[in-house]
Amino acid sequence: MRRLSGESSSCGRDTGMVPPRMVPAEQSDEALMAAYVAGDPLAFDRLFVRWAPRIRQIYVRSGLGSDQADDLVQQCFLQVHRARSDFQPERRLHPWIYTIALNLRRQLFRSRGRKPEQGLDVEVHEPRAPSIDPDAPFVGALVRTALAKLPDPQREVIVLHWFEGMSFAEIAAVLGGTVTAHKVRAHRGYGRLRAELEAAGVTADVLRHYGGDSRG
Amino acid sequence: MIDCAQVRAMLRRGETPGGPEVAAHVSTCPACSELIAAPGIAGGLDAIASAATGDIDALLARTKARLALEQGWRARVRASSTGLRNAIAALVIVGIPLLVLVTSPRADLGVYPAMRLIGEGLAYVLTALAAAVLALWPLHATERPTARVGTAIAAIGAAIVIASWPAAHHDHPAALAGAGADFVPRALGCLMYGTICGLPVWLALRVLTRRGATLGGDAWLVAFAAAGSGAAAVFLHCPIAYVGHRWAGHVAVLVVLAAWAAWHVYRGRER
Repeated sequence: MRRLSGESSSCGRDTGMVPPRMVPAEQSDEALMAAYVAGDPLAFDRLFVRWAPRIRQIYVRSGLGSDQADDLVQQCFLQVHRARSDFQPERRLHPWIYTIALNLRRQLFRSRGRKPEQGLDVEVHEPRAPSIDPDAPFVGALVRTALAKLPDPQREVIVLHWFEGMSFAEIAAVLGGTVTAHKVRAHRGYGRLRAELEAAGVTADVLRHYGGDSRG
Repeated sequence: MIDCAQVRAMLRRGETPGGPEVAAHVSTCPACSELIAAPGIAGGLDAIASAATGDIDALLARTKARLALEQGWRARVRASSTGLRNAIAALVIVGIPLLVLVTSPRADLGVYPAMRLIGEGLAYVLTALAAAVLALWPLHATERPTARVGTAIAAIGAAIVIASWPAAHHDHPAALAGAGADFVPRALGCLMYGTICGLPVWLALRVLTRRGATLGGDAWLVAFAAAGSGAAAVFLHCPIAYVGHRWAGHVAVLVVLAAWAAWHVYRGRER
């Protein structure tokens, strides 16, 4: 089993699919996508290994359970496959794939007419650094729940801004709308998140303990 | 000048960002301003920073199993470029009313005001095209949030306005039919005619959409596109001027297809 480890030489090994072929390890996303469009199935495996963990994390962080996240990741790559003839190699892949991923998530909620699940999925929690603190999963669950309570537009911007490290210009390219609108959404989202956590009794000192390389 | 990424990095290191460069950035970035004001949020978010990703090999195997089902002409059609899919949809949407115009045009075509005929026909067809473009909108492109509602309003509005508009003329005997004893059969005839003319659009869009088996909320757009094309076809075929007939026979095409869409959406939610 492989977990969020980026690429490895095991592409296709466990799946009984395509044997490894001549795709350079450091090939860019765009070059891999172009290779896939040209008919190289191994390029798809590499794109999947590179992107599926990130897409899955976006889904989990935005309030989906593990099974739903897995299902949406599959749908996301199914859509990547169906839309491959629309891909323009001179444009970057990452806004393209993020947009598919987030639109699928929105479609899911729209079609089911309900809000995201509450993010109490402790199964998916793995502390960022080794921790012996037994409260770490509990704090993680509270943060996840607070994040799940945010309005969808605010949560999307926070997930892309904080976790994916995108600039607001990139966020606007993925979600549409203006840079200013997304800055305001993020501002309100972070503020509301803080209020939610404070209401849950999680103080700034406790939170600070779980963040940063300086923690004990 | 410092940017959001640098502010995030400082917060992750447990530092409190400060200095003139940070102040300059914060003056244009309310999000970083909020993060700096409450640095504990950074720690909280980092507590869930590395949600597990599951078994990626198993997920890849399942995804490839789904991709293996993408075979046949339908898969090839929906995987074609969005430009080509839109062109095929446009061909069907415009082609059906044109075919009706050529093969069985309304009996009063010679006396119907030309500009009004073109205007009413275009209103139906353009709203149908707009609905089709949105139904086939690629997931990798952001969609204007008001586009769907705007198209729905335009499609319903066009049908209502055209049906309620005063008659263009009473100069042809065929325009006077459908108001008395033959109201029901003629209205039903037009309703069936328009619905049948809209069906090819519905079927074409089902094949062309990349959603696959379930249309979900896109069923509304598919219905508006099919109804627009069907209503244009019946408008170019039926000369009856009676407003009641136009409501019961022409606007009802939209009602029937919208009801079909509602059933699709309901069934999708039930699943």
